[in-house]
Order: sequence, then C-alpha cells, then structure tokens
Amino acid sequence: MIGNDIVDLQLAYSQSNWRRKGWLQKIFTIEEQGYINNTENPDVQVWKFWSMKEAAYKAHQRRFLLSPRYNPLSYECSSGGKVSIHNYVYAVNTEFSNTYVHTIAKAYDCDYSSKIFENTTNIKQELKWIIARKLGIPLTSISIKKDENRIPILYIENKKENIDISITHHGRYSALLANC
Amino acid sequence: MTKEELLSKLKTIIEPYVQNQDGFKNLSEDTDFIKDLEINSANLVDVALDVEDEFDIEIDNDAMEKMLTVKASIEVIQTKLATK
Repeated sequence: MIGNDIVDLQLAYSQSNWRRKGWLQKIFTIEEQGYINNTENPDVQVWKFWSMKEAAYKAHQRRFLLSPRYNPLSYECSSGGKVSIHNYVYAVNTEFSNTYVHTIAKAYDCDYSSKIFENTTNIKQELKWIIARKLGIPLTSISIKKDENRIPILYIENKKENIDISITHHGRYSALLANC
Repeated sequence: MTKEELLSKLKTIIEPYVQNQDGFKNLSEDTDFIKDLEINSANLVDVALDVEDEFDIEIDNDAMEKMLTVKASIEVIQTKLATK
C-alpha cells in the first residue's frame, strides 16, 4: 500500500498563502506548527509536511478503500520519516530540489519504481511503459482505471492486478509510483 | 438564508480557486471540488476559511473533512448556521 505526492514549490508559493490567519491550524498539529515556526526555511517545511500527509493519505485510502475525505490534520508527521493516522503508521521518504518536494509513503516495506517528470504530457502512458518493461509484457495489455473512490487501479488483460500505483501532478511536475 | 442565497455565496467563495472553468459553468450540487473544478487540494483550506468568514461560523476538522462537494458544503454550512 503506497502513495506519492509532488508539490511544485513555485506554484505552491503563488497558490497558497500559508501565513493566512487560521491556515496552519486547519492542517497541521500543534507539534507540526511548532516545527514550521522554528525552522530556518518554513516555506519549504510547510510543503514538505503537506506532501507527507498527502502521500500517506493516498496509501491509507487505498489500504482501506476509503471514500475521499479532506482530513490533513488527522495525518500526523513525526521525525524519522513517519506519518500516522489513528494507529496506522506510514514510512515516508521525501526528496527535495529547489523547485519541488516529492514524497513516497509506504505501509509496508516493498520494492517500488518511482519517477519524476518535468513538463510531461502523459504520465499514465509513462506508468504503463514502466510496468510493461518491468513485467516484460506488452504495453497494450495494460490499462489503468479509477475505482468509485477515484483510486487508480491497474489492469492487465482486463484483470485487476495486485500492483499498487499512484500518480501525482502539480504545476510543472508529475510523478508516478508502482510497487513492482 | 435560502439555499439559493447560500449557493450563490458559496460560488463566489470557490471561484478564485477554480482551475476548470467549464466545470464551474456547469456547477450543480453534485459538483466535486477536486474532480470537476480541479481546485488544488491545499486551497480547500482557503475555501473552509472563506466560508468561516462569510457565514461567521466555525468549520472544525469533522466538518472540513466532508467539504469536497457543493452538496456536502451546503449541508455543513446549513448545519453550522442552525446551531449558531
């Protein structure tokens, strides 16, 4: 059970004013707010925590087939790359550049393929290519459909495959993740 | 406040965050903020804060969790207004 999330930092800076009154309190726990307010680069920290929460949300939603909900405050980030919701803990791995933040969240340790794209046009097609190459199967045998909760599901020869996939876009960036 | 007035206020609130104008033109109660209007998920916090300011109510975590569609948001606002 995996999930990933990317934030285009330049876009995030123009789309959201996290200093707006009440904004941090709606999304971040007291501990997270304290960390943001005391770090050298709060602008990046806000989006780092945000991407951790979003990636963990996707993994958790897939794991329990949850309907979409907006509860970022329930996902608690802790040091050592962990996000927890209720009693469930997700290991997260965040990668930075000057222009993006990308997080992968996992419920269990597993192998995965992950790739980040700048200005890509068809992320779904890229994901199909990666899976086709990994599994040594024809590209045309692979399809991706969203289920009723908008979780993307991988099909091979029209049969549901036990491979988790996750796609994320924001601004100039997109990223994909598959546990194969 | 009638439901029409409430919907009209809600539309004014969400408009600046909408990234799919066709979705906004065809807005109905079933419109989903992320899927149909392509509102960035981080901006849903702004929607909640704007709703608080406009209606003078408090959107707690349980209420915000539901505010992903026009219909659910109207229900949340109506419930909060009724208990004000």
